[in-house]
Amino acid sequence: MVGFQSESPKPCFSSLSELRAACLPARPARVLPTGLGLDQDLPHAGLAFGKVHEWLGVLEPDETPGGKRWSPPLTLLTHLVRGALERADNAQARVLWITRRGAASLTPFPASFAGEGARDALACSIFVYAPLPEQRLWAIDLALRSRAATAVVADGTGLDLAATRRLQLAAEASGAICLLARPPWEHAALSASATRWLIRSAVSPSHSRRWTVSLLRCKGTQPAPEATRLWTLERDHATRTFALVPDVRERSGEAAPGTRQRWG
Amino acid sequence: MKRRLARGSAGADRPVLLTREVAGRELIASCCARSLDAGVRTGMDLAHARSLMPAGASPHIEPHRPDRQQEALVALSKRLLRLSPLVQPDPPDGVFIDFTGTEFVHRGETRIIRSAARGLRKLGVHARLGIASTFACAWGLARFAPRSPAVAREGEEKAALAPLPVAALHLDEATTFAFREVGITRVEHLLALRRSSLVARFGPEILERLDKAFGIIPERLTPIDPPAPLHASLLFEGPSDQWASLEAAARQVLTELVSHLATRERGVRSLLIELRRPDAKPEMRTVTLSRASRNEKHLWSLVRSQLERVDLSKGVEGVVLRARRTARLRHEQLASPALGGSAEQAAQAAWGELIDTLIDRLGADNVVRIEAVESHLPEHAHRERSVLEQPGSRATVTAADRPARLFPQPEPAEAMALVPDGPVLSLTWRRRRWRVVACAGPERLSAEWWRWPDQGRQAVPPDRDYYALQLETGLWVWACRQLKTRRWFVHGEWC
Repeated sequence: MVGFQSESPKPCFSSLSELRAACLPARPARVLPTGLGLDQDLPHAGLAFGKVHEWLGVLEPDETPGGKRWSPPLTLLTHLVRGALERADNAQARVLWITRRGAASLTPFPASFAGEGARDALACSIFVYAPLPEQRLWAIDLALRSRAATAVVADGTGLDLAATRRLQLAAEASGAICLLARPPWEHAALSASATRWLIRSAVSPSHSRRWTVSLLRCKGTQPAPEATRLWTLERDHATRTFALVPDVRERSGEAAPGTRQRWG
Repeated sequence: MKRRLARGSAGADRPVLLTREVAGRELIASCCARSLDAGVRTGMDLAHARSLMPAGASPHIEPHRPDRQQEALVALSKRLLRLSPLVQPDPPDGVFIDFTGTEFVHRGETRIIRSAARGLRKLGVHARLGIASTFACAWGLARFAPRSPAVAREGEEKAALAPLPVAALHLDEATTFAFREVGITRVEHLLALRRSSLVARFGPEILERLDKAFGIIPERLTPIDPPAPLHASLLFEGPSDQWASLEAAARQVLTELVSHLATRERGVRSLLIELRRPDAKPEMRTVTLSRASRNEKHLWSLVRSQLERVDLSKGVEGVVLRARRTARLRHEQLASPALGGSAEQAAQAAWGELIDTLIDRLGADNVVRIEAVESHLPEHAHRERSVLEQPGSRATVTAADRPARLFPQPEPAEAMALVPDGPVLSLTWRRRRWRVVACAGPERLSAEWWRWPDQGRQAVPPDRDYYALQLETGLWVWACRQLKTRRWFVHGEWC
């Protein structure tokens, strides 16, 4: 008769909360509150650092699907970059903007950087112009892996699933936040990003600028009906802040905008 | 033209006193400029000197080390090699520089003097300069002339040295004392005497000094050797067109160069790669770094990408790596966080390597910073500057309501309004006609008056009236109308 040693027993959980904590994805180390008034609907109350977030751009006025012209949502991106710089943990925070020259370039007008804030976002920004998509992918990957940049804003046109997965791994390794601006006709493209947003212009009755922001995809949450993931943002030029515009239309039986189903 | 400077010790926040022990007493050997102003002199007692110091200034007192002073003097002379290749340190505290013939390089003698004075000030050295056609005359002018820099033109040495004390001729103490006893205090008194009586009374050295000062007897300079440039090379026995051999040779040469850099505690900023070709001129490639580095892995990645672009079919006979520009890089700066180095330095090193790699692949013109420029005109409101250059002076960024993005070219459009200067009702742009929902403006932007003071010139950009228009889809565009031609353009959008 052959004796055998049994393996050590698998660990067991003493309570349901422990089991849940072991199954849920870990909390990210740092989170960037968007400052747009919709953080309560995001799983970690903001955009997680060390992840890739996609921002699909504003449709151009004469846009036809498959056309070539789109405008990246630069106002929102500069707002997020300013927030990311304030939360940077090292003294010398830097932002890299990786884009191409010409139309659909991500270069914001410097006046949109002006404003209060501890760090001058324009002085902390470096702009990298790479004409070819492969060069842009290489540059984003290099910037994320180098651990030297706090945030990387890049033109992610035409990136496929393998490319975004590679960028996601690089971002997780270094802890930088990666904001990819993509044209709006790529909303159905497969991607490994943590969140995906679509920005469209909205008519505003006053002289302030308005956009509708919809969250197309958020990792770690269940898909919810579109009405609950659509927000209207208004930007006040004087204070350079965004505010949510409450939805005036009330439809019975529909969940009020801003509530989402979440795990846990 | 010779030049000589007398160096005081470097100025610092606290006054500095160097002491020497003589027969149990501490005497001042030398002191800084602040102490000189307070009245401290060489040979004074230390206690006396401390009493002369102003209250509240605690002086830094150190024993005088002549060997360290000599080393510092030699180091200073090596730094002054940028002015001229002939530099000789003159202990205890002077440097002779012969810059005959370098005027055309530095574009004039006054520029040499000015740049030398500025450079010494930046180093923190309190220096007096004397410029003349002979070293002896320059020595005297530097030490004893009332103002620095003191310049004596060709042929004016007698007039320049005459009002100075006799010690300006670099005589020994006994002779100076003997002169003082007789009542000869200034050089002009000496010049009035007959040469034969001088020899009889005081010895032949005095005549030799006078002749040297006025250029009758030539002087010789023993210049110091400039530091050897950093380079490493490997030459093959015959030409090779194999990538493997070129790569291995370059790796070996780079390792050797990095070890040279490590012994001198320097990092390289600009590296020249020279590939010797058989029967042809050598091929040169340059690698420029944003920060001084001697990280072999990083340097190898940059050198390798340059070597990959070389055409090997013509053959390569040798590899030479020259460090063209280097900078001081102490050993501590390379410590990794795991070994106790600071995370700040690691982040700086990582940033430098990232920039270098991006510039290497995309070109220095494509990795830029954007700086605001003082201008109302939106197309001139900012300027790109390569990351390798120092950031320029920053202009204030206007806080006016400006679009998020400017189009690369203003796009022509047509606008229709009820009254000529009234609010715009519709905009025809990009082959489509839009209804304008809201209109803000006009804002008149004219050319910068300080650039074109004479308004009649053709090159002045015309005035424009800018409007912010909201189209029916909610998009806000920034449109302008040129006043002179009455044409409309769409310049930017709020995206």
